[in-house]
Amino acid sequence: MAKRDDTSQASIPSWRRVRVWRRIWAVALVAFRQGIRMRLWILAPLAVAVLILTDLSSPRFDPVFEVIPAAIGASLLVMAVLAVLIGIFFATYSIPAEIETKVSYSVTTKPVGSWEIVAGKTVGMSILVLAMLALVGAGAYAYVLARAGGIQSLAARRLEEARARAAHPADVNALEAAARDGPLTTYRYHTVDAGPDVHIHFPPAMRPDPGDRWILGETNMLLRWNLSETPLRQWAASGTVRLRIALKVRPSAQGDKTPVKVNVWLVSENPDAAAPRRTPDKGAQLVRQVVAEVSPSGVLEVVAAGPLAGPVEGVLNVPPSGRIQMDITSETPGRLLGAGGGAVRIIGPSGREFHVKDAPQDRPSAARAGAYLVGRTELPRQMAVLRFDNVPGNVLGSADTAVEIRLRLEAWSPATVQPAAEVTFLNPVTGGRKALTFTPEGHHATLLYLDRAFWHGGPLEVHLECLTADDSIGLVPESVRLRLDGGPFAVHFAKAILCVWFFGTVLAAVGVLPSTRLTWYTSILGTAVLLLASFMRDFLRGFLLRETWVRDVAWRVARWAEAHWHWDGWDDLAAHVVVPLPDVWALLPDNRVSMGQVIPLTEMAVSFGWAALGTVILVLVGAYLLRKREVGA
Amino acid sequence: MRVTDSGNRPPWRGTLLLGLAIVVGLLAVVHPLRRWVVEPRRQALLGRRESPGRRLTLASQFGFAAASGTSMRLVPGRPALELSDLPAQAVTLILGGFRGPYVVWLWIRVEDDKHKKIHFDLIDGYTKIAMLQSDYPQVWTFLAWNLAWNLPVQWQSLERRYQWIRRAIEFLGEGHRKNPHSAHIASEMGRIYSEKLGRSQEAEYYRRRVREDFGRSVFLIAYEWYDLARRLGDRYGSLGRGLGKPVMYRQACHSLTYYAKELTQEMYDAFAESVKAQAAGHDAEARKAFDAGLGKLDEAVNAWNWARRDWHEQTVRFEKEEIMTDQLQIFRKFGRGAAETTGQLQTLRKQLTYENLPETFKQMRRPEIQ
Repeated sequence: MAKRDDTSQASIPSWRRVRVWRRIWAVALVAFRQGIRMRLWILAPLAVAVLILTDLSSPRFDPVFEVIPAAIGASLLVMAVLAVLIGIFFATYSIPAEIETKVSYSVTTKPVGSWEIVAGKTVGMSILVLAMLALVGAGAYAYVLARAGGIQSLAARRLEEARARAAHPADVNALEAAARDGPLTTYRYHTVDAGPDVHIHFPPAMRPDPGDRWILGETNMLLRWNLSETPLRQWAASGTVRLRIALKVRPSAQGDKTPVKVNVWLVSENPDAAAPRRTPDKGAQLVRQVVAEVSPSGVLEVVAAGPLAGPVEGVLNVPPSGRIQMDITSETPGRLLGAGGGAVRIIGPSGREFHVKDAPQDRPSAARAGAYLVGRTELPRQMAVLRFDNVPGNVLGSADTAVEIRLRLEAWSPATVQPAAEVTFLNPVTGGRKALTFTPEGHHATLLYLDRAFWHGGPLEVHLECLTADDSIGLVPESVRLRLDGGPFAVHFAKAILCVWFFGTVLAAVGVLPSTRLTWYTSILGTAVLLLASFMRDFLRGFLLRETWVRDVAWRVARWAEAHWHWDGWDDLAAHVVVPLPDVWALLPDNRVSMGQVIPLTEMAVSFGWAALGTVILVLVGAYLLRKREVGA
Repeated sequence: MRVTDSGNRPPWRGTLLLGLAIVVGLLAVVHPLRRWVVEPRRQALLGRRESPGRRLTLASQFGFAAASGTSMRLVPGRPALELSDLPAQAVTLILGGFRGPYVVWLWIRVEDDKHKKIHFDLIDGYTKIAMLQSDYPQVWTFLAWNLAWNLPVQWQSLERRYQWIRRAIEFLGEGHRKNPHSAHIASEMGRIYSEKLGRSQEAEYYRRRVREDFGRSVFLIAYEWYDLARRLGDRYGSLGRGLGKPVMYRQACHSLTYYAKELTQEMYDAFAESVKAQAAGHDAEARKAFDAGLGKLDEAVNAWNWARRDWHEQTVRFEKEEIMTDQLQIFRKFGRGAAETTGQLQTLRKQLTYENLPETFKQMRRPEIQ
């Protein structure tokens, strides 16, 4: 290739540099037309035919809920394969072919910079990919629409059969929605603003007094008093102290009045770090917990001593250090135990008394993460309360709002027992109340629908209860979410195609890069290897770090860097530098998109940003290589 | 003389002809390769070579190619290609060397989807993998194990769990069609019926559904598959890795024992109903239930006899093969148990009358299927 005058760019006045874009556009159009001349468009109907044939011949477990996600997934996969084909075979072809046919002589002798050529080629490929994706996307969209019609009628037929077998009417909510609105729904999530707070659902005859805190027997609920600001430790050091607790005990719904058994714990706030569990001298295990029976009057008296007194059965040892707190849990199933302010008195060795005026906490917030609800068929029972503060009505869409409930089934009742749960929706504005009983799924979200007449935005309170005896359900971090309308399906599908286009553009740039320096065949091989390595980068990284000497080197470099510059991330950085390949495949939409979850605009913007940055870097490197090649020639 | 103007020919015609020529060429190369090189190797690997005597017999019936194991279609029992196999064969041919990477990618994807509980593409993925690796019995059994054991537990509803297991049975049935000589696949099918549908935690529901859908006891179906596995194992040595031969072979005997226990349970339930009706003074109902109980008793005696014979045959067989003593002890122990129960039930059959049922019933015990 002839050497070009490098000073030509510098001599162009700044006002004329606007023509740079025209030159890039001209090169891009040439690349695009080259693709059209090569009849690459034939691949588009072929891809649609492959998509339809494979999708129609693929078996599905549940056609109502699986056919559309599978069709969307297959469409996006076919488009991704198309982008890969163009990236590997055509993007690598253009520059070597021009050099081979000497067309490049007529290009490079024009006032066109090497970066303009590489950028033009990349843009041209990107436009070609976009055109092809648009063609395939239109075909795939028509196919998905055609499938959706059949699915809706199938859902209506299935609904009739499912209603007869359903344990609860709410169990067929999702099927009803598919039969009513069709399967082409899109959604995005709205998470709760507060909760879950675990309380007790009292029967109407057992209304609690305001200010009292209540716990239920055989649950993880507890009454907790902070005794750090009391003279307990000081008095226990000089002798025996009595803790007198005035509890309120309610008989069970069946009128059971047998004594309630409780566990009383005296612990420091952070028992592992702040307070040793053994006596300082002999090393014997200190008594942290006693089991006691509450008298019919509700008064409970527990004896406490200092840590140096040594362990004595039935006597609690006060932790030697740290903040002290007293916990009470009930061991009697289904019995309510409560306490109000001023329920605890500390009676010292000399008869002095200290009155703890604070009311107990009924369930500390620290335990929320592991919250679970113990099941009972009758009231009282545990109840999780979740709140949505104010959901704007205009984001709900026109269809009924779906409520997604995800639970962890913890219990081990016989597998033949069908668990049941109840969700109650409260509309604080209208005072409306709607209770739905449903069969919870352990591994899948249960979908329930709230009709618009009951709630169409604003605040909403959700109560969740487990109705199966001897069973419990765990609350995962996002136990209850609203599935809001995600907008038109066509927009959702177009956004997914755009993501594939970002991927295709980066691939085009990857393909153009080696072709600036290498022959077509070598470029194809290089691009394919790079793509494969990017696909397998986690495996390669793991292999290198586990099986080879690279781990030692990386670890040593990280230690050296840490010694010079204090930073916690050196190990992580060293592990990632081992295979420094960007994850190109991450640009492709994942399974959630196929299932209808819309891609947020922010996520789209981030993908676009990464794709643009990657493309610019690749173009610049490609331009450098092409320039070197020109100089070499 | 006629001159052809090549310039007037449509440009796509040449491309089309070239494409056709390539396809025909590929078929011409690949088909004999598969028939004469790949298939004999596969047959040999799977132990499907016939004995010289049998080969001669087959040669007289089907020709030498079939007798030498190089023809898939003609030898009885060999996997015959069906029209439904056409897409699988076509895709395998088209993918060529890319079949390996594609299957690896599919394996990674389906395992990932299984862990994430994303099911919409799972069965499709499993079918594709099995289609591309249909000659490996382990592929079928591993994926069927996923379908029967690991996926149903991701659901709570018993009906939905049962449907997943039915999928596993259909899937493995297809595997058996493709690999009819694999004892490994047949024994895995027996395991699904016996262990998953017959004896799991939710078995009560499954056993009822199997009786509705198949019209037979789940243990009887399990026995048939295990028995087939025994015969295939004897003839082709195709048990594969996993359970040892004595352990696998006695599963058929166990299935028969469970079948006999199931019938005994039904007998017990019928007599219990009769006793209850007698106590309530409903004589007609009581007699009807008693007659049903007697019918079940006869069936149970036959089933226990069958189980006893099967245990005995296998004990004799493995005594001849001189397997380990502790394994033989197991055969003998269960065989003795079956013989004792047969005797007890035969005695009961002789002594039992409608009149003495309430007294006799007090001594009866409902057997548990553990």
